[in-house]
Amino acid sequence: MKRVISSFISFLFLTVSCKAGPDPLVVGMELEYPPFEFVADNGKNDGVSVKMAEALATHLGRTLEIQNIKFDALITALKSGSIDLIISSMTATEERRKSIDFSDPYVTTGLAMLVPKDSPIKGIEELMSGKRKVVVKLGTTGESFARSKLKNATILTMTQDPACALEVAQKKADVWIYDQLSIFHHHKQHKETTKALLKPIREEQWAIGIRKPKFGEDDSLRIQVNDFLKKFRESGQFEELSNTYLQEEKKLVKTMGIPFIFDVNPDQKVDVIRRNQDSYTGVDPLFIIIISILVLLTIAAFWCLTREEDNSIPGHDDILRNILGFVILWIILIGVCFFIFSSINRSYHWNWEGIWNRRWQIFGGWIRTLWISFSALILCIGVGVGLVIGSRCSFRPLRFFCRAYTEIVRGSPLLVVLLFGYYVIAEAFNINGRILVGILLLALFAGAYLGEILRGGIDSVGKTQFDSARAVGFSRLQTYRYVIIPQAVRRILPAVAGLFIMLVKDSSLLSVIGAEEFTKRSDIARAATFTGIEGYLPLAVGYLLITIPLAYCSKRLERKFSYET
Amino acid sequence: MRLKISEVSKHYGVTCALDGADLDLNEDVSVLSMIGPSGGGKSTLLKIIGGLEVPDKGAVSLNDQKVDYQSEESLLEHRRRNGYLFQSFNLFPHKKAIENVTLPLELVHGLSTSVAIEKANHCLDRFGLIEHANKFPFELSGGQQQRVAIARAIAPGPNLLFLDEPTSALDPEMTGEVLDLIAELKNGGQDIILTTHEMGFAREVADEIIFLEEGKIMENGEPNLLLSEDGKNSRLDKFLSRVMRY
Repeated sequence: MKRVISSFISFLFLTVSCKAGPDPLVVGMELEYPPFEFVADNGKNDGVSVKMAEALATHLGRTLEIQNIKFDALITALKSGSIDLIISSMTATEERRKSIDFSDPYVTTGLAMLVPKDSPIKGIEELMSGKRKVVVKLGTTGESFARSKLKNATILTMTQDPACALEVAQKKADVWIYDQLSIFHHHKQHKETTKALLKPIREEQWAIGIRKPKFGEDDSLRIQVNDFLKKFRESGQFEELSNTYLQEEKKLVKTMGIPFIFDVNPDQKVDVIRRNQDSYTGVDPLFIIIISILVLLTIAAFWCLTREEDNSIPGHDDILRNILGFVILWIILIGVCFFIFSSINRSYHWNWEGIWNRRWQIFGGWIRTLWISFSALILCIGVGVGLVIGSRCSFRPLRFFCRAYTEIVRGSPLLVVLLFGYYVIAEAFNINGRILVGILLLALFAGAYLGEILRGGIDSVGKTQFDSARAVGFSRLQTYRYVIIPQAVRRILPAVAGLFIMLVKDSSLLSVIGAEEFTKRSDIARAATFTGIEGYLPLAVGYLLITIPLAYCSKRLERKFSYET
Repeated sequence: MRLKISEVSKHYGVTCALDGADLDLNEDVSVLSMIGPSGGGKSTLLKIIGGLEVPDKGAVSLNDQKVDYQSEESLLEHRRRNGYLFQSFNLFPHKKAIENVTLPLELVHGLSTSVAIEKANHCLDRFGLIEHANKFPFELSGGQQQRVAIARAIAPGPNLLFLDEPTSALDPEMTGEVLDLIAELKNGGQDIILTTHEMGFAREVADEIIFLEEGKIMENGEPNLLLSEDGKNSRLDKFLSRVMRY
C-alpha cells in the first residue's frame, strides 16, 4: 500500500499545479543573471527586470509576486498558468513565439563569442568554416543558433554558465556562443585564457513573455504591457536603469562602437503567431513495438513486486484474488490519472509533436543512461569491495586513505564531485571522454556508499561466525568466501538495491559535465520545443523502466539467499 | 593426552582473563573437565589450548608438541587436527545441516564431495539426525543444533575435542540428549577437554577436573577426590556449595 501511496504522491508532484487568479501579478524570472535579475547581498530580488516588474505592477494597479524559476522551465510555468509574465532577459525567437506571445522588445542585444586566447576565430566567417566544437547553454538562443546555422559543428550543451566558460578556457571547446553581456562577464573571469568577441553574430530582441490567450479570452494583458513599455521608455526610466546597473558595460560598448542594449528602435514590433494545435506526424511501428515490450516487462516486474509474500496473510497464494487486486489497483490509478489530466487539459496546451519527432534521440539517451548506469554499477562494486579490503589492510597509509576517502566522498554533493572531478582531476590527468569520466566518477562516488554498506553487512555477521569458521579450520579467505560474505550479502541486499536505484537516477547529473544521457536529451528536446509535462512524463517512465526491473532483481536475489524467516 | 600449561596469561583490554595458569597432566587422562565460576577463565583457557586465542605470555604443549602461537599457519594446522564446539552452537545459518558437516570436510580436509557426504551421513545417523539432514539450522531445536555441531566437529576424526559449555544454552531435556552423546563419545575412545557447570556430569565422565578462579588454576585432581565435600580449599568448597544448593 505504501508503494501505491508514494507512486500516487510522486504523480501529483509531476503534474504542475494550475492556478490562475487576477491578483497579484506573478512574474517569473531566473534570478541568476546579474545585473538584470539577481538576488542582492541583502537577500532582496534586484536588477533591471525586477525594477521593470515593480513599475509594471504599479502601472497595472496590482501587487507583485516574483517567482524564481529555472530559465528552461519558465515557458512551461507560463503555459501552465502558474505565472502571468516572463521578464527574464528572454529573447523573442520565432520558435518561442509558437508557444507563447511576446510584448514589444525592450532590449536589443546580440549573440557574442567567447574563444580561447590564441583562437583563429575572429568573427562569423571563421566560425562557419571548418569543424568547430561549440559549447552552448541549454535552452538559450545560442543553442538554437548553433543547431540551425552551424551544420558542421559539434554542439555540446551544458546547464551551467561557469561550466561553459571552463570548456573554452580549458580548450575543450573552440567557442561558446551566448549573449554579449554574459560573454563579457565570463571573459573577465578568465582574462588569461580567453578572448571575448562581442560584435553580434546575430541580433536579438528581449521582450516580456505573455501566455497565448485561450479560446474566449482577449489580448488585453499584452496591450497593457506594450502600453507600459512605451511610457517607461518615454519617461527615460530605461536610461536611469542603465546608469544604475550597467555603467561599465555602457562605456565599453560605446568604445567598441556597438549600440547599447536599450537603444531599441521604437517602431520595432514582435509578431504574434496564432495557429492550430499540432497533430501527430507519422507513426513508427518499430518504436511502438520496442516501447510496448519495455512497458510490458516493467508491468510484469511490478506485478511480481507487489505480489504477496507474507505467509501470515490467509489465502496469499490465491492467484485469482491477486490478479483481481492488481487490476483494481490499476483501474484506480488510471482513474486518478484521468482526473488529474482532465483538469490540466482545460488550461494546458498539449504539444506532443516535438517530443515525438525527437523520439529516437531521446531513446538513444535512454540507452546511454542504461549503459552508463550499469557500467557504473559494476565498477562501483569493485570500488566498494576495494575500500572494504583497503580499510582492513595492515598497511597503514592505504588503510587511512580508504577511511578518509569514504568520509570525504560520501560527505560531498555529487554535483561537486562531478564538476571537480571532470574539470580539475580529469583535466590534470588529461582524460577527455565525458561519458568515461562520468562513469568513473559515479562509480567512485557510489563506491564510497557501497563500501560502508558492505562493512556494515560484514560487521553484522558477528564474531561467533568468525570463531566457528576458524574452529573448523577455514583459512581467512575461506572464512570470508563461504561463511561471512554469503550471510552479509543477504543482509545488505535491500540497502544495495536502494543504492543502485539512486545511482541510476543520479546518472542524470552527468549532464553538468556535458554527457548527453537520457535527462539531457529529454531536456534538449523539451527546451527546443518548449514543451513541459510532455517532456517530463517520458522521463519518469524511462527511469521507472530501469529501476523497477532492478528492484525486481533485488527481490529475487533476496528470496534466493533467504535462509531464515 | 598429555597437557602442559605454564604461566599462561591473557588480557582483554584492562580485564584480566588468565593470570598465570599452570598445569601438568599425565597420559592416562582421556577426559579433562574445567569447572569454576563464570569469568574465572575457563573459556579463555580452552580457546588458548584450542588455538583460537593467542596468550599474552606463557606456553602450552599438547601431547609433547608445543603449540606455536607465533605462526598463523601452524595454528591453523593445530585447529584442523582438533574439533571445537561452542556454547551457542555457531552453525552456519545459511547452510543446511548436512552442508555444515560436509563443508569443512571438503574445504579443509580435502575429501571429495561424495566421500564427504557419505561420512556426514554416517555421523548424522549415529547421532539420530539423519531425517534432519536437509533442514536449515533455524528449523532445528537447540538440542538438534548442538548435535549437528558435534557431528561437524567429530566428522573429520579430531585428535582432541574441545567442548565449551556444550549444554548451557539448552533446556534440561536437551541437555540430557547432548550429555548422553558426549558420554558415548568418551566410551568410543575420544579425548575431550570441556568446560561445564554440570557437576554431576563432570564427576561421572571426567578423569581429571581442574578448578579455575580469578584466572588461575586453583585446584586439580580426580573427580571423586576433588568434589568430595571435605575439600581442603575453601574457595572450591564455597563454589561447590553455591552450585549444589538447589
